[in-house]
Amino acid sequence: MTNLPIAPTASLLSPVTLFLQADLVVKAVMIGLLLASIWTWAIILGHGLKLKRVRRQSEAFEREFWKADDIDKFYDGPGKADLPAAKVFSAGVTEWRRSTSGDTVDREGTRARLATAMSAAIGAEVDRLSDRLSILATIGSVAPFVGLFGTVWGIMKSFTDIAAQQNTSLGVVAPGIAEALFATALGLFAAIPAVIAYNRLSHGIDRIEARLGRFADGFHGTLSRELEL
Amino acid sequence: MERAERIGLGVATVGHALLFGILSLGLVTRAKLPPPRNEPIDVVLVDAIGLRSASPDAAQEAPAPSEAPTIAKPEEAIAPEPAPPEPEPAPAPAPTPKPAPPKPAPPKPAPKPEPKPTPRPEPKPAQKPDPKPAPKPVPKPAPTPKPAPRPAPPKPAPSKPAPAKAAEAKTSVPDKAAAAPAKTKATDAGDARDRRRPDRDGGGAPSKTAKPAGGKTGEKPAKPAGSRLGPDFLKGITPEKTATGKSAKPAAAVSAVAMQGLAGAIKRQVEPCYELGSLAGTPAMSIVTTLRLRFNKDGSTATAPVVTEHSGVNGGNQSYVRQIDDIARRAVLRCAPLKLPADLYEGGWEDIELRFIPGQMG
Repeated sequence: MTNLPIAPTASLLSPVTLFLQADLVVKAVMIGLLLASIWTWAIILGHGLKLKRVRRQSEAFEREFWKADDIDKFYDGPGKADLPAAKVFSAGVTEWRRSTSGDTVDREGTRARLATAMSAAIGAEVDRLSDRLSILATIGSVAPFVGLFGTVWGIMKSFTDIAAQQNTSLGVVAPGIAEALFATALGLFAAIPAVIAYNRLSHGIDRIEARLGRFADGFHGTLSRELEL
Repeated sequence: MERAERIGLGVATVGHALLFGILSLGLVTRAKLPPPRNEPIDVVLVDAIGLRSASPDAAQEAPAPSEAPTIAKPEEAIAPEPAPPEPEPAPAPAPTPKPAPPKPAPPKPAPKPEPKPTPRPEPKPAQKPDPKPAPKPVPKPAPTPKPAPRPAPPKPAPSKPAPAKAAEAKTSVPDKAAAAPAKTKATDAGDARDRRRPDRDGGGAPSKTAKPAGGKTGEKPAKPAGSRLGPDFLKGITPEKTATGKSAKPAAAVSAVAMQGLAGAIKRQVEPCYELGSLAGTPAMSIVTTLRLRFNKDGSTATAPVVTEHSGVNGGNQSYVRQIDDIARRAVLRCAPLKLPADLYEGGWEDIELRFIPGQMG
């Protein structure tokens, strides 16, 4: 009696073989989802590092700022740094210098202009920080559907195979369905970290924005007091 | 692209490559399941079974079972139950009639039977249309212990209905079915009492002979119970003689046992052609197809097999019915010239209905 290989060999189920056996459409879906996953993780890692660095440096910058005696000297020194807080600070200083350079100073107008200039700088910085987050959101919401599409397509194909072969044994159906389900697995594999990272990173950016707002308010108060002299 | 993002992209790419590499290798090196081992099965060839029954008696009794089973089985179940309780009540009533005998003895038997029959007939038709075999057990134990030794014939007569009632009172709660026949027995006993008394005077032995007499109303002796195993015995294919016009002739010509041998022979010959193919293990396995086959004398099919009946069809396998039918039909046609005993042709396999149970084929 010959021993038929009833159980599929393990290598049949490895991701590479599953990919190689899949239909063209399913292959495309798998490649797309794999790229999406790589991109997601690139953004998660890159953005995570960046946000962490920004938060740490902003804290240091603010500590130095409140310790500094001369704003002009501080502006020429560490105020030029490539930091959101430094950008807000320089926007405030630039507006201050412009408003107070003339003979007459419109105190109310200067205050209003300082506030708008700094809030505009905050908005620009937050935009710059969160530019990649929309990608995470998109991947998080779309990847499962793309994976599902691949699965549906793959299962459709295996059913047409069944119809063509007139054979319903599990051995004919199983590989096709397994490779089709692999597409959904990839979709979820890309989507789950994307959604988690999106929530986490947007929360981090919210905190940075709030911190920048408090810093801008403090700086605005200092400049306002300066105006009254 | 900033430095942090470049680092992120690099790490992500490398990480994915590593992950999929590990998954591929890890799955490959995972312990393989041991291949299922098929234990060798001993095959016993049973072609040596005689196609014809050796005993002629069995052949004559066999035609009866088709109608009997439903009736007879309850009896068997009931008969033993009422029998044991009777002896118990019997001693109790025995003393009571003793003081009575001088005067009230004669009147008692007369009034008692009368009121009893009137209420009893009501349950009879409702529960059991045919009370035939039931009467026997009741009278048996009652008369044998008492009437034989004691010279007074009238006393035991009234006592019998009493124990019957007592038995009913006890048994009626658990099994009403048992109580119903018991009642009918009592009535029969009442009716038959007049007939029996003379017998009892003769002694205990004749009383037994009287019982079948009392059971005459039921017509049926307990015989059929024995020969009834037949239809269930060979389930794979059970021959059912076609009802139309054939029932009289085949009963005489071909015995049921021979028919079963015939069915076994047909099954053996058709089995190799019966291929479930991909339907094996599907819900289709529970569909039982009954085919009506007509053969020529040489064993070839006279007409195409006709599907007469299905059973075991439910919502889950409805769609397989046609395939199963085709498989059964094809099996017969493919193995068509069957080698069957020529002497069983007339009324036997000339026109036969076969039930194909997929689970027991092949």
